[in-house]
Amino acid sequence: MSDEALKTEMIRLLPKLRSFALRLCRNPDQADDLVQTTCERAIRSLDQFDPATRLDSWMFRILQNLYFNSVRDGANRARLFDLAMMDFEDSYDGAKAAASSLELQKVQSFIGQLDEDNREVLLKIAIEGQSYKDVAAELGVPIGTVTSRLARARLKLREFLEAKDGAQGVTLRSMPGGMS
Amino acid sequence: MTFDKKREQILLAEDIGRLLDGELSEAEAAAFKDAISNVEDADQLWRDMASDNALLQSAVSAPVPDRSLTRFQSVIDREFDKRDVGPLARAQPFWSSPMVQVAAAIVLVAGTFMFTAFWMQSRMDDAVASLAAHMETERVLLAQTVQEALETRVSGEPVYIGQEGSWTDVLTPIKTYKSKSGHWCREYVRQTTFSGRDLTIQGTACRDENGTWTTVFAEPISDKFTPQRDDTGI
Repeated sequence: MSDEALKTEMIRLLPKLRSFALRLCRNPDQADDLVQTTCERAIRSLDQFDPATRLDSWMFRILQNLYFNSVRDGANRARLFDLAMMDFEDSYDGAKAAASSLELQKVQSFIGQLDEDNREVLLKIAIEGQSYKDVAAELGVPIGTVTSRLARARLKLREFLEAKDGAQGVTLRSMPGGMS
Repeated sequence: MTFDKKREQILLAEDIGRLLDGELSEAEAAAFKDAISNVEDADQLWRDMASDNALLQSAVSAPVPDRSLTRFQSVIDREFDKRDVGPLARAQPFWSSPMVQVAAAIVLVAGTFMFTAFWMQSRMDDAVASLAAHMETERVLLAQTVQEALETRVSGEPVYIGQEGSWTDVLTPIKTYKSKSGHWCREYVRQTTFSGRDLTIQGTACRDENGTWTTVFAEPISDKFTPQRDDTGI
């Protein structure tokens, strides 16, 4: 991959990187610093990047390592590692990420359909990594309300994804002479 | 799904959500995972929601403030620009640095000089040794020729006492006289030419009772010598 292509790809990755950094740091300024350091580190060691692998996985790993190195508190670190690996392994490793582009589109259309209250909570917490407490304070509602809206939004997403899967299955099965 | 079931599911989803969002302490999280691991439905929902969450996170990015985006892009531009210049310098091996090149040149020159000096020295040693051997061999022969020349040739007649390549050795008796002590003596000029260079020696040799001519005096002269072919006096 040429430098120009890598640069474009890197700029394209910025929002994802920043979201990930935001979920780790839970602080926009820290997240910005982390993304900046990640970009610097990545470009300076670009020779070590294997073009056969995914740039996003590689950069996420750099970001994560930088973050863990900066976090002194061991217990907090363990918790965050757990959290990050959950995000990381599923969403950014290898073939799964590449294969799920159809699912990504589905999720995006789901977000568009979701009602405002639930969407706001879901995005602030699941995407931006804000704490329940902060979101509750910002929206002026009790934490319980935030928790419950979030749970409902997630269950709807679950239903939506399952329904789509199911619908596809039905279509295939109902095709004349199709799979049974 | 009954209302109770629905209610139960929402509560479970809330707990799973807290786990996913890092709202639980380490101990709470461990306890919760432990509790749901034995309940098949709950465990399945936890897995599904975790994967949904990951999917959601890769599908949707938080909006990046313009200020942050500008900052990131300028960092990326700057680092790539450095890299455009950098790789050449980095890709080149260490010996391309001017200092190293200068050092290498010095070592090369000094090494060549030392080797040459050593080589020349050894060659000169060889030459001197072979010349010495040559001279030693020649000396005996020369001596006989010189003896013969001094004994038999008339004054002024050049005698080739040695000739080999560009080397010639010509001895010319010049004057013959009887010394006060009663010995016959002859003055001579010996001109040695080697590769176009001349060494002319004027010397005096005297004959002892056994008929052996011995040089008693010799000094180098430059170009005073002119053979006198017609001088036959002794």
